This record gives sequence, C-alpha cells and structure tokens, in this order.
Amino acid sequence: MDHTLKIALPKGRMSEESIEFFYNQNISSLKNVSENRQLIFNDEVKKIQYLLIRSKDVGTYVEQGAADIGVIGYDLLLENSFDVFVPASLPFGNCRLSVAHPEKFNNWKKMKKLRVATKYPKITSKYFFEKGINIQMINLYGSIELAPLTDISDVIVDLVSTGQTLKAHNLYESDVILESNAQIILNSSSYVFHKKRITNILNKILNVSLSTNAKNN
Amino acid sequence: MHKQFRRRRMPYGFSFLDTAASGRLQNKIRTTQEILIKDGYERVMPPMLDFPETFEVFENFEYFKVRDHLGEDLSLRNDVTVQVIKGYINEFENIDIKNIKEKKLYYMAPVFRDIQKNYPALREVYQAGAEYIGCESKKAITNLIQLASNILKKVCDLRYEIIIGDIRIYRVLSKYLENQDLPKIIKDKNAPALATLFKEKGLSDKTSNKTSFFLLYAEEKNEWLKNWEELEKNYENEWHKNILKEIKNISKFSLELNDILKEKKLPVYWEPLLFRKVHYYTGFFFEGYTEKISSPILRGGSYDSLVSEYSNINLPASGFSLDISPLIH
Repeated sequence: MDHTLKIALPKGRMSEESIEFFYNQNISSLKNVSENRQLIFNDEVKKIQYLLIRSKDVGTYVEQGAADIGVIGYDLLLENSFDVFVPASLPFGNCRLSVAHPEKFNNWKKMKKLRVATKYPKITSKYFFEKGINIQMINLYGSIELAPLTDISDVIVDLVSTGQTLKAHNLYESDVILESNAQIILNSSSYVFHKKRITNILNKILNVSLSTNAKNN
Repeated sequence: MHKQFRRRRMPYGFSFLDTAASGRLQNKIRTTQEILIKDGYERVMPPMLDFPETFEVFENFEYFKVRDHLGEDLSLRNDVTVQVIKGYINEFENIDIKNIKEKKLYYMAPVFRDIQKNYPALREVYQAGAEYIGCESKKAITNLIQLASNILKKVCDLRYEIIIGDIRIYRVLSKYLENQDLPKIIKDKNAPALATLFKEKGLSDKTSNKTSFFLLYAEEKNEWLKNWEELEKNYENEWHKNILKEIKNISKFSLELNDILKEKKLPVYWEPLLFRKVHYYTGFFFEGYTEKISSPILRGGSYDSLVSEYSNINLPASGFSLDISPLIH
C-alpha cells in the first residue's frame, strides 16, 4: 500500500457525509473533515489524501488524474459527461432535479415561449425537448430561485432537497426531472494501476448497498 | 478568433515539436520499428486523406472533413487499420484464396481526431500499428500482446498494464438488454446504471447490483468464477439464467487467453466487459494503460469480418495501434 490514494470531495455537507461513510466502512481512519479549513488533509493510517474542492470540479480532477477517486452528485455527472468510471452509488446526497414555478405560472406547460433559468442547461434542454416544449434557456450559476422573482425567467430547474428554499421564495415544485444521489467516480488509469486496493474499497461499498437492498426487500 | 492570433499560433490540439521533442519521438519510432521488423512485420504507408466512409467504423466519427476543388468530401484519417486492410485486399483481388498466407504489416503514421472536449487534448497523434492478417485470433492476439508489451517496455518510461477482454460478452449483454444507452454505460463502467437495466428485467435490487458489479469490476479469475457460479445457482428468472450462462460460456475464451498470457509473465489482467466505440472488433479485445495518462494508449483486438467487408475473401485479422505522441509530452 505504498501509493497514497487521492480522493476528491465536494466542499460542504457531502464531504462530511463522505468522510463519515468511509470511516464507518473502515475505508478511512478519519472521523471528520479537517476543522482548520485546509483544502488538503491526510489520513496517514490508511494512506489517503483528501482534496476538498468545488463540487463541479470533482469530475475534472478525477478525469485529469489529479485525484484517483471522487464523490460527485449524479446531477453533475449527467450534466458534464466526464470521462471517468462510475462504479457505485452512495447512500447519501439524495435530492431531485425539479421544475419549480411561481403560482402565476401554474400552466407553464402550455406557455408558448417559456423562459427557464438553470445551472443544468444540458439536462434541462434534453428534458424540455423530449416534452416538445420550446424554451429560452437562462444560464445562471447560483441563487436560481431569484430568477422568477426578478422576472428573468418564468420557471426554474434546480436541485430540491427538503423544498424549504423553494417555499421561502413562493415557488412550487412540479415535475421531477431526475432523482440524484452521491456517486463514486474513478480515474480509469488509477483503477488499472491500483485495481486491488480500489476493488477492495468498492467491495465494501457494494456490501453496504447489498445490505440496504436486503433491508428494503 | 483574432487574425493575428491565428497567424502566430497553432490550432488547439496540434503541437509544433521542437528539436528535443522531435528527437524523443524519432527515438521511440526507431525502437518500435526495430521490434516490429524483427518480428517479421513489413511497412505499409496508407494515404493521409481518404473517403470519409472509410472511417465510419467509429460510432462518433471524430474525423476532420476537407473538400477538394471539385467539391468531393475527403477526410483526414482517424484510424489506419481499415486503410491497411482495404489496401491489402485491393492487392489481392483476383488471387486464389488458397495462395494467401499470413501477412504481418505495420505502419507509422499520425492520425487526426476532431475530439470534442472542453480541455486541450491531442488532435494529431503519432501512431505505430501492427496488423496480423490470416492468423487465427488466439494465436494472433497472443503474438500481438507479446509484441506490444516488448515495445512498451522499450519506449515507455512508466509502468504499463494491458487489459484483455472479449467484445462478444458485450454483444450478448446488448442482445439481452436492448438499450441504446448501453455503450455509454459500459464505456463509463457505470455499475449503478447497468444495475437499473437489470432491475427493469425483473431482477431484485440485490441481484441487479451484484450482476452489474461482477461484470464491470471483476476480481481475479477464480474469485470471479466463484461469484458468477453463485449467481447462476440463485438465478431469479429464465432471462437471468440464460444471460448468465451465455456470458460464462463466452468468457471461457478470454479467460483461457488470460492464462496463456499470464504464463508468459505479461502484465495483463482480464475484464469481462470491455467496449470501445469501434465497430469492427469481433472477439478478443485489449487496451494498454500507462501511469499518469488517463486514456488507453494501446488498443487492439481481432476483427475477423473486416477482410470480407472489402472482398469475397474470408480471412481472420487482428492488430493493435499504439499512441506514441502522449509518451513524449
């Protein structure tokens, strides 16, 4: 186990959940994310280096080989088409990508020219194209809920977890485009050269999902 | 784009090799050539431009199109194998098939790919390739992997590994699952997505996850066979029983090849499910990775129906291409 495995995690709640999950499965010996705001921290026992980066960049870090493994939301994976392997889903980070609208646009499906604000242009255009609805896409990078309030758009397509943010901005969730959760991604070359170690980690993750399946069945 | 910029710079994905880089490339080419010639391969030089139809063996063609002064579409080659086979067959028109013996051909040439990516990638790649025509695939692939390994040992300063598989396993899966997203799912080794396709065929979550994972992330041969037999014992419906049986039957060929190559102490490992977006592969398939380079630099396999596509001659063929350009950067 000479090689220090580099794992890219998205900053925020998903990194905390990832570390906790890896600790519980005996993949990592660290219980928590570094508290001193360091973006790189090491698990000396298990020879893992964690990189805390922006969620959108996790795919690029893994694709380019700067990290061997990454944790990323299914939504971002689908939106960006990274050239990476996707071996497993993780039992956290559950949310959904949905269409939300203000009350006055209840009938958005019948509108002739619909303005849609989103940070997921690829998934959004595919979804509306398949529905046969013409849209004008408004690409935004954050605070999507503001778009209908400031009349930039009629509806939005955004991630919804509890629905509290939508409610706070008087928006109503209608169609769910996709269900998302956290996924493990791998750099293909890292998988080839550290196959045994990575497969060992993947087997631990598979066992968790199998035991979850057994409980659900 | 600004005219001044275009006049002064190279297009994205193309490099001007300085004297040092040119020297490194030349050394690697010379070494590769020496090994190929020693093994009985003879050089061929296909043209740089050809009809676009030649290269439509790729799913996403990724070729540069140009047009001549009469308005005829031509394309910069993005694959040399088809050109070599096509050229070789043209040589053999009107010749009795009984007189055709094994032929070993090699090429050294740049290929051009209009890769649509959002980060810089090489669009001109210098390749070395070997084509072994007229030899049955197991013998040919053993020879080719040994040859590729000898070349990599000499021209690559980094560790390398060769993965072997059989495209027929993918074809079985494709027949049973009938899903248009399957090529991408397999290319991405997307186990959760593959498990979803199994669930759609009525398998339980647990069995779907297991089947998908064992196909995409195989362990050592014996461990894999043990896991697969366990799945076979606990099959969930007739559909499941049949697909498991068919995959196991076909996997025997590549597992046997794996044993032969392991005996030769080659750095290979076996994967049941490999797929790349080239249509002409018919059986064994392999790819080679080096450390620090994310995509495979070596790709090869057998294409036993390619010769007959260009003639009424039925000859097996196998080969590989090795990207040399990434090794000098």
